[in-house]
Amino acid sequence: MFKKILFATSATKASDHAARVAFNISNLYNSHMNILHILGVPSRGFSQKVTDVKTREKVEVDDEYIAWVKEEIKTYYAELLPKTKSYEIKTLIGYPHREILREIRKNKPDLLVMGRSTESEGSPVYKFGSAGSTLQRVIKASDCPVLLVNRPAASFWGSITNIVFATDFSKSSDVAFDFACKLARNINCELHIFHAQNISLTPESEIFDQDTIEQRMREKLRFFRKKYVSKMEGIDNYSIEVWEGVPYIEIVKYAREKFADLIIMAQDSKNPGSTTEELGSNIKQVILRAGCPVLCMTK
Amino acid sequence: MYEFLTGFMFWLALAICLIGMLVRIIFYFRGLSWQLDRVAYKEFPMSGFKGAVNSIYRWLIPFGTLGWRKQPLMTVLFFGFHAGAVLVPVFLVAHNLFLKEKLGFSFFALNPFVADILTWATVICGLLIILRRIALPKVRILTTWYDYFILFISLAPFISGLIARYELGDYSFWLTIHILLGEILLIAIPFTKLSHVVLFFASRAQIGMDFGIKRGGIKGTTLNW
Amino acid sequence: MPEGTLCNKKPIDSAEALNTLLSDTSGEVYYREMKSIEVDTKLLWKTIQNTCKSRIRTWLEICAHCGMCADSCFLYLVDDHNPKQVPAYKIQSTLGEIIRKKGNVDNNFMIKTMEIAWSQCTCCNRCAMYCPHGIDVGIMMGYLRGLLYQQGFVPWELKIGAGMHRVYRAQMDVTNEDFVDTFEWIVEEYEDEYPGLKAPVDIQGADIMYTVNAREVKHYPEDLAEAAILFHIAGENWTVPSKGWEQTSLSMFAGDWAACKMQVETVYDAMERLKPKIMVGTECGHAHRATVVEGPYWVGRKDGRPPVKSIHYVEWLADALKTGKLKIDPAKRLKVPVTLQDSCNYVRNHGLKSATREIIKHIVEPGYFIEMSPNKEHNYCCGGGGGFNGVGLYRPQRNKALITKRDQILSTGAKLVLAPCHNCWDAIRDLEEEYTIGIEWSFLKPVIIKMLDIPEHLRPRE
Ligand code: HEM
Ligand code: SF4
Ligand code: SF4
Repeated sequence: MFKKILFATSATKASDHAARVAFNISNLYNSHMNILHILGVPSRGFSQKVTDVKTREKVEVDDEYIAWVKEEIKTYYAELLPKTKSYEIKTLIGYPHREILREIRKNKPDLLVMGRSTESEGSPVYKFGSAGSTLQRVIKASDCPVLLVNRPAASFWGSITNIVFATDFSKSSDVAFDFACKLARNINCELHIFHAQNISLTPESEIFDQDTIEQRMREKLRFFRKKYVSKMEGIDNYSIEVWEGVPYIEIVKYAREKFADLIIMAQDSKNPGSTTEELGSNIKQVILRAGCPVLCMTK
Repeated sequence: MYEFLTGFMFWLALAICLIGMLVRIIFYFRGLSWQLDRVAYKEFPMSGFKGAVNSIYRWLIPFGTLGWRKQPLMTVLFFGFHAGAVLVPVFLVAHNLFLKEKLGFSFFALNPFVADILTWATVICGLLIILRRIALPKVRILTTWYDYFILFISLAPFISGLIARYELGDYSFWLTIHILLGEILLIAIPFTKLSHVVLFFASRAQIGMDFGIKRGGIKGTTLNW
Repeated sequence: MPEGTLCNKKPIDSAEALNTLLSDTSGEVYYREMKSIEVDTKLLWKTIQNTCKSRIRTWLEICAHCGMCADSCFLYLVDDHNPKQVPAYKIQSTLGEIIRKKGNVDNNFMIKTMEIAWSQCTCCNRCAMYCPHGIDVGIMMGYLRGLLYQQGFVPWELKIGAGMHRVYRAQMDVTNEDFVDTFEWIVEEYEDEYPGLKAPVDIQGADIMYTVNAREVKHYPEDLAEAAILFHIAGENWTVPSKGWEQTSLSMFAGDWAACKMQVETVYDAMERLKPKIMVGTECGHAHRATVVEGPYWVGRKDGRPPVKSIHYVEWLADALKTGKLKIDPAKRLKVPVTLQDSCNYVRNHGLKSATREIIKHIVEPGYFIEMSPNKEHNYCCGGGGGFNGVGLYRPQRNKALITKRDQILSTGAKLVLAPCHNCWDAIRDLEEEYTIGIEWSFLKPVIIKMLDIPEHLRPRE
């Protein structure tokens, strides 16, 4: 299922948890691992200097420097590297989101694994004017599923027993659903299908009375069964639930209750707000808060 | 001596000055190249003309440009110096009488009192310009002996004129000196950077055309000098 | 040593030569060699006699040495009023000296001159507006750079930059295939959000031919997508050329006039080939200057204009907003203190001051726009113009130069700086990195896309 995985890393603490998960998967699926490190942003206009991601120093990228960085990465992951049969370390220069996306386009990996930040996001070095973060930009445009590991994952994907699939019924959710089923079948685990009915009662939102809310939840549930169950052949253990509340909080709560090892979500690419700070925040918040890795799909 | 200076020498100096200025202006414009200067002078005569006139006119008005307003001291000194430097030689009563005698015509004559003030202003501002050259590091670094020389030959006729005018010392001696210095100045104009008397207009016209044609002029924006 | 292996008078014209020079970290060998290369004084003097005509000669001659230009130069101001930074001094002690000596200058002199030409002047042309004689030191510095380039005294990055144009007809190693490819896939990335979004390449007779900055292709192709989105929503009939898409010219900064000509010819050829009604260039200042303002003269077009009418992105945008082709949702207008960076290259040097202000009127909530002081054609250089941004050797000087813009921005109190120019954008990014004053900066495209009122039929269907 995962023949080729791309692991985008800063080779710092920030991607340690992600590293463990990535190497575990590689071990489990015999996947070829592509370790990608973005050296830095070409901050010198058209000059050859970049600001190194790790040291913040301005460096001149030449073969010697690249060789040195690769050696550093090898040392950093010395313990994990034996887990994978074949790997390759690659370094690129540019804005991290763009170079990661370019790499995905070029080598078509089956999965991208990354930590929450391959850079410290506040730093003006990486600020792309007033646009969104690396993470949001990668999720938005990635052709392959993106696995985000922010906090230490209990299972490290070693033994997944519970997957939570959170849907918002968008088209990309359908794709994510197919992927979730495939994965559930493949590793033979329990699949929990979940929808959080957004009723955050801000002054602008329509105020529902409780009856309407419950009425709508029943409808959703019915719709759910029709939409998904037929496609779930071969998956014996599953549950379907609809909760009400602020979606990301409900998703995180639900995942905790189900002892989820993985949350699968879709990013609605049609939502034009998704690259801005305010929106797409559902996914961002889930990633920040969930106790397990989050897998995002756009396409 | 006096005879020679007001006779042959006068004619010579005047001729050198006028013909020299003419030659300089001709050479200037002949040396403009649309491709080297990267300005399509000939293709847009109207835009060029408007730009040129605007560029000259605005700079001839005291405090007429942001550049002048930013440097009020220099503006006062510059106009104080130049008002006399340009007007007095041409419009002084005595000069006009001389012209009438030599050429058979004269210009309008300045009120003698005004002429006095202008001359004093020229001399005083000239001296202050020298002081400024010494005092300000940004000007000192640019200054060469040549600059002092130019200031000297510019001021000398005015100073000697004043001495003669107030009859300090021997009048006829100072008058002769004054005429000599005046003629040196006339001769110097085409050959030194005093050629700016005409080349100022040429240079300003050029930059005016540049902005008027290429740098936004034909886009319909007038430059706010 | 008459010529070095890396540092010499020969322009770069093959990919191998480029790579060799690139692999010389920081130009270490290059600069070392530079110390001992010979000056071809005969060639220097001959070139001057052929190309230095009455305009520059007169400027040098009649300069009154009055110092009125001093305070107009931001580099003089920011360098603690160092008299060596007075524009007239900078040019008299370099070009003036070369001419006085009839080209008989030595290596040492040329190296010092190189430093002045590239680290003490950004060719912003501001001093021209403050000199009573109308003497434009920026233009003379540009001319001087040409002489230095010819003799091999040019900063390493700029030798490379000019070489890129010679080899790739782009400022970076981006080939025509790379460009078309990138353009197509980045547009694809946005198709879902903007149904019907297209990547029209090489369409004959389109209304608009769009040209870009190679950096957009290489490092932030989002910009290409954003341009596509805005043209799409405005309902424009537009295209990009598969060849001749690069508008910039590092060769202009380098003083490599032959490369300038080669570069701009590719764009003009594209115009002749595709016959668009107009050409629109991206949000870049020097690119506009090179292709629209100076380019026609490099290739010898007598009317000083490109083959088809060519405008800057801000002109297109201002027009699209004014005529309602693009509509802004008033609720989404910017409600943070905003200021605007006027680029020397198309404001002072091409009079486009009102176009940007027209745009501001549409996109900033009234009361939130604060002008910098000074502004419009009197604005100071961003601090990184004329190639300054890219030269590693002069980085400390460049960083100091950024202080002018920093203080200008600080005194507006703005939180967002709109910088519709690659160079300015870079300089402002770098100044935030260097001095961290807590500002954001942006091109216009991304800001406008966020606040568009998109017509019903162009929105994604649920
Ligand atoms: C229409 C006639 C003239 C024009 C438009 C003109 C214009 C100028 C300008 C623009 C400058 C440089 C700016 C500055 O120093 O602030 C200048 C400087 C100067 N001009 Fe003239 N000028 C004229 C006639 C004269 C004449 C007749 C004299 C001599 C008697 C003269 C003597 C000087 C001198 C000595 C300087 C240098 C001042 C310094 O040392 O700073 N000018 N002139
Ligand atoms: S202001 Fe003009 S005339 Fe005066 S020193 Fe500067 S360049 Fe020369
Ligand atoms: S062009 Fe700009 S940077 Fe250069 S001397 Fe003039 S004001 Fe200074």
